[in-house]
Amino acid sequence: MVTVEPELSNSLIQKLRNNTLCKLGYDSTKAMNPEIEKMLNEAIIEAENTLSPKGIYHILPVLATNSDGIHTEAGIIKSTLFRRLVEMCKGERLIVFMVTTLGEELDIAYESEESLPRQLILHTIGAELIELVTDEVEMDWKTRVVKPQGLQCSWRFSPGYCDWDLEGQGVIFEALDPGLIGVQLTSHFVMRPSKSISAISIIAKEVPFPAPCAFCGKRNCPWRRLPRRKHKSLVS
Amino acid sequence: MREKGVLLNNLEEVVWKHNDKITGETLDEALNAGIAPDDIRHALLQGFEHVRRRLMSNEVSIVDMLLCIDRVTEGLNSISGGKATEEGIPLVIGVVEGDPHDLGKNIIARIYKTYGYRVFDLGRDVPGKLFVKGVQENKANVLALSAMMSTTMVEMRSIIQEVKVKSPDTAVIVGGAPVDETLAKSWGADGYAETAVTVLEETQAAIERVREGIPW
Repeated sequence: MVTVEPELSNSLIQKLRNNTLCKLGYDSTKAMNPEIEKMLNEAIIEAENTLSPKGIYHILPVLATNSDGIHTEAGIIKSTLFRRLVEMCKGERLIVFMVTTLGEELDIAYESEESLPRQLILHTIGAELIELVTDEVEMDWKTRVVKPQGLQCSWRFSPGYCDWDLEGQGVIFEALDPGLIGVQLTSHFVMRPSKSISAISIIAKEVPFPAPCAFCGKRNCPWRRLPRRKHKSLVS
Repeated sequence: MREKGVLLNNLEEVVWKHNDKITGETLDEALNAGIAPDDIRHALLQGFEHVRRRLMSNEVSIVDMLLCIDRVTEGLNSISGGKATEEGIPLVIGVVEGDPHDLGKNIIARIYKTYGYRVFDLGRDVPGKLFVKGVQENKANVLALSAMMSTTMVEMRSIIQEVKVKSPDTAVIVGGAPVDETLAKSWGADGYAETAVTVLEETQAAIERVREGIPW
């Protein structure tokens, strides 16, 4: 099990700012009100100064796949779509289990904030930052395992995505000890602190698609990550 | 002193341009000029309406609308002296059990308050029985339910069914990322609000459906 503490570098903070602006709906056609800009700048500085993001991951081999799902030492990953992706991978197949968090400081700041625009800005900064932090944690295992061995990997896939129920948090929390980085699960399988991500990825010699969308026939899915037409032949 | 129409226009502008503090001189000037609180309230809401329309046509960001709501709230508090209103349509709002996401609900609750609804905010992670009780105790005309997770949204169905038995005159409106109009209809809701921008119209339509006994 590996723990990582990604650094909030200048380039990461710049990315955070750009992504947050985009998520809040600002583009070249909309001028930002100076008061909103001030709120955003203050919130980013606060995030930079107070947050200590952390991540933890563990890599386990796939023991078997069948109609129940993907079997690992930690338990069964019950997603038919992800199983189909795993079954198409070539060579030894490994599952990376990971959990990342920004810690509870942002939740505390959000809870104590009365102003709605500030609440939204804090929420958006948190949502964008945890994605960037998780990218950094991914980079850690890619650098240690994937790249040196010339392997491939999928994009991350989380409980609640596609056909993987939120109860799937159980297998990730069995594979790891997220308590080491301060992450707990509620009885409804929701993570606290709220700005946390749990996910898996598949690593193999050959991973044919980065996401299981290739095996999904659902039309107009708002969460589709691969263009439908390109992978039509695989859709049953 | 400037005339009433000019002062009210200024107030409206202060809200949508949000370049000044509502509680500052613009509002003071209007109050000192003896303008009736109802006229001031109308001007504030006109300012908000302007921003809401601009958000609908993607000219401004949601943050602009929220800043505008803050301005209007400050203004309304000033003219009411901070006292909660006993008027307005009673409305119960909350996020269903298991779901900790309350930002969307907070935004919607503030919009309802701004528009004069008497809002009873039950918070987040609210057990179904508390919604039913909240509606009965507050004689709510509207129940607004929010869920941001597909796992928790299913709880909405049983809440709607129970509310429809115990408080059949209450209009139930639902919203949240995993919900859509088809689901809302199949659960027996009276309305569905896709965004904060349209929630007022959708709520009004739901109230009318229930009042007239028109199926959705």
